[in-house]
Amino acid sequence: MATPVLVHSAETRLRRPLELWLRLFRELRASREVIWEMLKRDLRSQYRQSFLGVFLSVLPALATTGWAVLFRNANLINAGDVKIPYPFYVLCGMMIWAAFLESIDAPIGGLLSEQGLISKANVPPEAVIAAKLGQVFVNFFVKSLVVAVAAVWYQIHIPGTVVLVPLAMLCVVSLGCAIGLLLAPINFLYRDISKAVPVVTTFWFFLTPIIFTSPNEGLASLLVRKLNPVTPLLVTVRDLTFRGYLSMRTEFELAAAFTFLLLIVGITFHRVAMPIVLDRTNS
Amino acid sequence: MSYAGNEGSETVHAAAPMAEAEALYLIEVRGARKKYCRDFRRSLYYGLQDVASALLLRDPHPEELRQHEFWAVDGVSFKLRRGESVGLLGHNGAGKSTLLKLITGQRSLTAGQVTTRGRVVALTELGLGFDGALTGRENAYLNAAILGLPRHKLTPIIEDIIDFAGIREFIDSAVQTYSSGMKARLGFSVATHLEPDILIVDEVLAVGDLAFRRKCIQHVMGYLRRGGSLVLVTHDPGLVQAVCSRCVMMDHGRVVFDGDAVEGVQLYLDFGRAIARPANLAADPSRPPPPSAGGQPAPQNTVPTGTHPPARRRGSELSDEKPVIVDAFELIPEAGPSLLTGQAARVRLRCRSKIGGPVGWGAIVRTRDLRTNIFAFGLGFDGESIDLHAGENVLECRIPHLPLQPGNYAICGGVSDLETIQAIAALGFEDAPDFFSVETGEASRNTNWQDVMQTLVQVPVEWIHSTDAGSHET
Repeated sequence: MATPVLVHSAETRLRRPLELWLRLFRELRASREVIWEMLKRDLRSQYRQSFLGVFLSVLPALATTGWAVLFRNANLINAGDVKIPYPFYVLCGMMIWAAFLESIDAPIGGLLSEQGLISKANVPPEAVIAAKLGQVFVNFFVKSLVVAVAAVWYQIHIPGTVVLVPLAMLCVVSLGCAIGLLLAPINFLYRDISKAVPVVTTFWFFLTPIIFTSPNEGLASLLVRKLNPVTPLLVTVRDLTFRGYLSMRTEFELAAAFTFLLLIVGITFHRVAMPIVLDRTNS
Repeated sequence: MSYAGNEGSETVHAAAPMAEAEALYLIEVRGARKKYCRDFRRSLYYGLQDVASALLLRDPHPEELRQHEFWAVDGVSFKLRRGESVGLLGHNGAGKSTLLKLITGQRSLTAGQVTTRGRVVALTELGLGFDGALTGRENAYLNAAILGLPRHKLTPIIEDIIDFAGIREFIDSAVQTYSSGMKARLGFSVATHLEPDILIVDEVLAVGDLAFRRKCIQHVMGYLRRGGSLVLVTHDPGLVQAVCSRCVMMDHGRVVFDGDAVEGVQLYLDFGRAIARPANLAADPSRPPPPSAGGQPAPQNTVPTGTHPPARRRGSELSDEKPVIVDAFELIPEAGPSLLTGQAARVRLRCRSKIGGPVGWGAIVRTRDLRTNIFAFGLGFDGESIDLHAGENVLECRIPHLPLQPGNYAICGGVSDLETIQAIAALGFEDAPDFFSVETGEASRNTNWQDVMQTLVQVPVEWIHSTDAGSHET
């Protein structure tokens, strides 16, 4: 049996980037069991300890859909022509948006809540994040059952492209996760980050075509379509779900490439900063 | 499986055969140094600085101490062979726990290198990752996975673990219905059944009742007999003597003794005695402890207390959460060089405070294994108080006849709030107590007899020579 030999020294990890990545993969591979056990634990306690379980996890999305419909009927929102039943449109967008928010929180909130495991039991922080991302996917799957029920209710034709939804969702989750990875180490030092995130994302919500269609002209178009990387990702998931064609294909490709780069930067930064930051916490 | 929270750490699954001599050592620590910052806010800012310099590939200047920084571990080299069991002793803030964290990779090194060979399991907190909504069995699997044992390896031993913890009838109930003792038993049971190459235990053997504690220690000894290696950090010298063959004593971040366990424990107790006196070696960290402090002249009570600044507890700084810090307890004979049974003694509590006002204070004198409380005294239960001022304080009281028999003792205590009678600051409860020794005065038949009877205290008795034996019965 091979004996695992560990050498700890004081050098910064960034000096050997290749090793940084190899080590990450090795640690994640070695942590498969922990990731799986943590994911099971989180899901069990999420669904076991609440009576309404599944229903509660979709309640926020349903609530948003409810007020969006009310506001639109009262002419407070100019939603544009969504071409399908408006409640269904909002519901889809909300599910994707919720997964995006959960992915931002996977590194930020996830690491804070599992601080003990990371600093006392040597569970790699990335394993904790992986388990939380697994939970994001499971939650998304559970919620898509609700979308499926809504689709039947509104008699919406679901095209075959729907099978590609997980791939596009991977981009959405990766983008959220990359943002979270960049913020999480700083949040360990200064909790201001986790307080600022909801403020920023609330603003961001209104720059993303969830309760309205993406505008085609003016400043709004620039902000929503050109500068917001979530827009093409979210629109693509929605297109795959009920349109069957991609309305923002080029933008999607650009956003996916951006996401990929940001993820690499995020992971590298996280690997370098996390050990330093963990040193400064009180546990 | 292990995550090393260290910059530049690397895992190598040894493919090439290791040199024989090298492979003998499961742990090799070379010149390890670690600095900490006393001020929390500043520490966060330094963290930000360090992240920035790591990103810029800049050297973090490991030799330089920034403001409020100190060396928690200062150039420690230490090796552990397979099958060896080492007890790590030292007073509060000596750097024991930090050294363990450097070995397990929970903290990153400022300088030096640490190599571990084999699976390391660190027991620093029991029941990590426990979730109240899950059953005991589910939590056992989770906890084992966190400590590095996959499910298929736990399944064959899960029944042993449940029996060891003694909670079979509750194992399929949710953990939130458990008492804290049951949780600790389950956590301990899982952890000790993992049979790692290196077991690292930090102050967790003291869980549960005495019977369970004995069982734990027996289990650890069994693990050692089967060839396991152990590093144990504790304030209980008795445990080191029972379990360890070797003892490493640390003071001010350095190793001051490394050798036989029995010798080390003796030194630790003597060391404690030395610290109980103002002219002690804590004022000079570079000096190794003397073999015995018995011959040192203790200062008279006329010596102004300001001449010897108290040994400050390292790593503790006054804050809003810690408005008062107890630095030391001293027992000082009123006359003569040493404390004697039946003679007058003074107890001094040295503390730092950032608040002023009336407080209570008190102390408990315990046997040095901390298992028996001998006597206690406190001011502040019935409205009396003493005034604390901001800055350094010395609180003092007098014991006219010290009842303690010759021997070594521990003293714990603290400063308390008058209204709630709760401790504002304490020493010796969550950390190590201070030690002192009472010596034999003039030998007599009575003192020898008391010694033979192994009593803890001597109480003055007035003999009544009455001939009227039956007077109470009438």
